[in-house]
Amino acid sequence: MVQKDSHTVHDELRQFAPDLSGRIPKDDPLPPPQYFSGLQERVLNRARKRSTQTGAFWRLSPFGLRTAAGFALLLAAFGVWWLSRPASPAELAEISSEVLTTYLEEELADAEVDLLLEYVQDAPTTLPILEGVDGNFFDDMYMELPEEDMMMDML
Amino acid sequence: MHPINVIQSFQPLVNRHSDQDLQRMLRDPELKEKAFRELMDCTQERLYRLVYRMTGNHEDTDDLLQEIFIKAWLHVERFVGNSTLFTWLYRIAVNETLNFLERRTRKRTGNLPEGSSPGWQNAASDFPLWQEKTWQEALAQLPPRQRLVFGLRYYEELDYRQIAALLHLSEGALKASFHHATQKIRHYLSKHQ
Repeated sequence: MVQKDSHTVHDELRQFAPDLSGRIPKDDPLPPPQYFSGLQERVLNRARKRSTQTGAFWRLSPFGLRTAAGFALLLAAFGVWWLSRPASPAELAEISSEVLTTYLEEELADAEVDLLLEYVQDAPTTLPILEGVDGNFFDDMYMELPEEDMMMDML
Repeated sequence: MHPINVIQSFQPLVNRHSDQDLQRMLRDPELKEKAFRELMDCTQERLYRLVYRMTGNHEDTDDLLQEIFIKAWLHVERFVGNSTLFTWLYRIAVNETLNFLERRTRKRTGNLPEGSSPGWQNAASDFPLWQEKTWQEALAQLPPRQRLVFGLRYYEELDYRQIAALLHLSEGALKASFHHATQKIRHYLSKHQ
């Protein structure tokens, strides 16, 4: 169904809900008598009380604000230091064996990789895997070439 | 579109001071209370009707209305003048009322059963000549936002552009919301009359 723009809500209802149009009560709700006569006082009294309660807590002099900001910074710096410091022997003793085992396994795995890399780096240029059927040939060839060239051949 | 250009109908009926004068007075500590009382005089009835159509009873309306004006008093310094004071108050009223209704809905176990409308039950006893009970129930079964959109469109007779500026929603979404509301009302009335 194509909706047309309606100027008023009554036009809209006549178009899309004709059975509703004209049936909707239009009376305005009225409060009890004299309701509004005391409303302003109630509102202002409560507003002032709430303003006093919230303002007193946050009302700080400029000096107080600077002091509070400085204290907060110190606290944050201490927290960073505390979290990043190495564990003490007592704290280490409290660590469960399971956690320790996992930690050591991970550290050892990293160390093994480091060792392998060092080995490869320091390994002699004539690795057994590079020896051909005639190992002497390679020995002779590699003895003649400068070291950096030998490395290139290995790549 | 700038809100102040859209919601022209929200210009309060100010007897003594213009909206701009009131804004200036509200920023002056010595004149703030006088200006605020005048603002309340101009807007309290209309806001009462808006809130009552959402809550359906006087007690909740009274609580909400006070809260709306208290927040306006406490935060008037944040009002930067991009709209009229009444539009600003209207937004506070809409937000407070929606929050209240959503809290009330969450407290209930499950959806509101058809035919029962706790928020509107006392309306007849409070104001016996105001609305039929079935119509009250039909409105009460709408979700809060749909009820609000319906109220703003039908009772306040705002167009969709004004409602969009007030609620920060698209006109398309508002039209759909209003039509869904009318469909639900029609369905409810057809089953109960």
